[in-house]
This record gives sequence, structure tokens and C-alpha cells, in this order.
Amino acid sequence: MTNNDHTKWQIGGKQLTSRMFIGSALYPSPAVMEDAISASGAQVVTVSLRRQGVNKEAGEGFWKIIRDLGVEVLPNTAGCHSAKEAITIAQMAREVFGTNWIKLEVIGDQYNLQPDPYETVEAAKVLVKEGFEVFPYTTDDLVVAKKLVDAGCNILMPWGSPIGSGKGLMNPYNLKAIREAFPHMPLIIDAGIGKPSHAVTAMELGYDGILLNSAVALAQDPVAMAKAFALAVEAGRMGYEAGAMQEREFASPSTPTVGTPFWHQKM
Amino acid sequence: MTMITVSVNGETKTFSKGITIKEMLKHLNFHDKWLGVAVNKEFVPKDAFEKTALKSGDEVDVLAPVSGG
Repeated sequence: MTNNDHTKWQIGGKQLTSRMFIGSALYPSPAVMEDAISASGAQVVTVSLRRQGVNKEAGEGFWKIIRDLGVEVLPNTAGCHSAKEAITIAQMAREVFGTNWIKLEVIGDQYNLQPDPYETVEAAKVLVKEGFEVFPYTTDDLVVAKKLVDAGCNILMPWGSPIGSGKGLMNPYNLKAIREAFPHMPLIIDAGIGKPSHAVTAMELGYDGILLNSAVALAQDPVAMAKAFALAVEAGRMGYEAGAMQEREFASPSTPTVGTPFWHQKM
Repeated sequence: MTMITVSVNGETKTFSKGITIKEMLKHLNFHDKWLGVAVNKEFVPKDAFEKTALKSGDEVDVLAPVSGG
């Protein structure tokens, strides 16, 4: 990964060089998680809060590994089904993790874990007023995206496809529409990415970054896959910045036609 | 001594009346450096642990960092 000045970008008041956000769940072991996060080059790692078992010391194990990695943490509100629940979890997360960043996730359907747009917007309004930097997990619905921006969100995180599905970008048309509607807003594709090629496509659409977890954690070799994604994100971004050629309906020879030798002269 | 019954992370616990969140956490061996508390689904900031007394029937959630996507 390159760390030159031209790779710097900003989101949520922080300057980053990597455009890949990575989750901390589902790895075969804590050691593999640590190695995969390092290999990904990600500077932002998602974490969560769950009930602490009685008589167990908090802060051990998992959380120590994350702290020692020196990354920015992005706590989520995973598992919440209402604005009220998400707001409470966000308030707890701000204190526990010492960050005003929150990945706002309010689920509206258990089958496809689709975010509930009404509750998400409601929670976003309250959290923005309380000083949170809200990273809202949303669908690729342009109108919902607009409502989230109206609620004060400075960042949008539309899904590529349902969480953990690995299906990639189901609706590039909608994702393009959101990019065009908010040309200057940091946009992250969150959820559904399964392969490095999906990450390349996301970046080529002009998205500022991707957030993934299962694609790396559930790969046969998570550490190698983390590196593959790092390269894919970098390649996709570089390709986007370089500006792709215009598609054409017909073939056009790339080798000069002037001076074509004899075997073509009779055609 | 009057006792109260409180749910802590879904488990029923009995404490002396007037117990504060700080005392409850210590009593149950929670180390409060990296945890967050909600009582009846309302966030309770750390600086209120010492002055917040639990009431009978309260539902307390003590949350700690875990992995997440």
C-alpha cells in the first residue's frame, strides 16, 4: 500500500490513507483477526457492544488486541430494531470506546437484515443533535439517502447487498445515483461485498471506501484475502481517479492500421 | 435489611435496598473500565454510577466491547 500524500482523504474529521474499513467479527481466531486487519491496511475497524458475562473481566482479549492495533474504532449498533435502542447503544458506545463515531444500524427485517429506513432516520436526527458523527448503514435507496442527509448525516453507507451475503453490488444503478446526488459527501459501500472484484467495482463507481467483514473473515485464508482486498481497493480508486475510457458499441483496432502488410490488402 | 430484586444482563440478582450502580458492579466483580451501563434501556453515564441507586424491578444491562461488523 502506498502512503503518499495523494492517498490521504478525510472522513468524520479524521485523515486516513486506507479506504478500506474492516470488521472484527467471524474470524477463525483472535490471532487471525489481528493478522488480517494488519494485512488489510485498514485504519478503521468496526466493533460492537454486548452483555458482559458476570464475574468476567472486561477489556481483556479481543478489545486489547484492537486497542493495540492503534486503529480508529467504529462502534456499531448491530442488533437494534428501533431508534430508541440504537440511540441508547450509541450513547454507551461513545463512553466505552471514547469516540463520537457510530455506525448506525437499525434492522427492519431479520431475513435479509435490511435496515429500517424510518427508524434509522429517526435515530440519526437525535444522534446528530447529540454530537455524534453518524455513519448510517442504509439501503441503496436515493430518497432514504436524502432523508439521512436532511437529518444531518455527513456520511452515507449504502449496502451493496445484504450483510454477509457476499453477492456484491446488486444495484449499481442506484449506487451511481447516490454518488451523483452527493458528489462531495464521503460514501462507503457497506455490506454484501464478497470478492475483491466487488471492491474494485465499488471504487470505480467513485465510492470513497468500502466496509467489509465476512468477505475476509470467512475466506479460506483470511490474511491473504485481506491483502487482496487492500490491493483491489487501491486499484479501483486509482482507476477511478485515472478516468476510464468511454465504452463503445463497436470494435476499434488498437494496432495502427497505417502500414498494414500485404495479407490484409485484398480484404 | 430490605432487599431488592434486579435483573442484571438477564439474570435475577438480589441486593440490599439503596445499592448504587457502582456498588452493584463491584459486588458482581465487573471491572468498570471498559463497560457501559443502561438501566431500563436508558444509558447511565459513568459519572452517575456512584449516585444512582437501583430500584426493585430495574433491568440493568452491562455491556462490554466485542467484535462487530
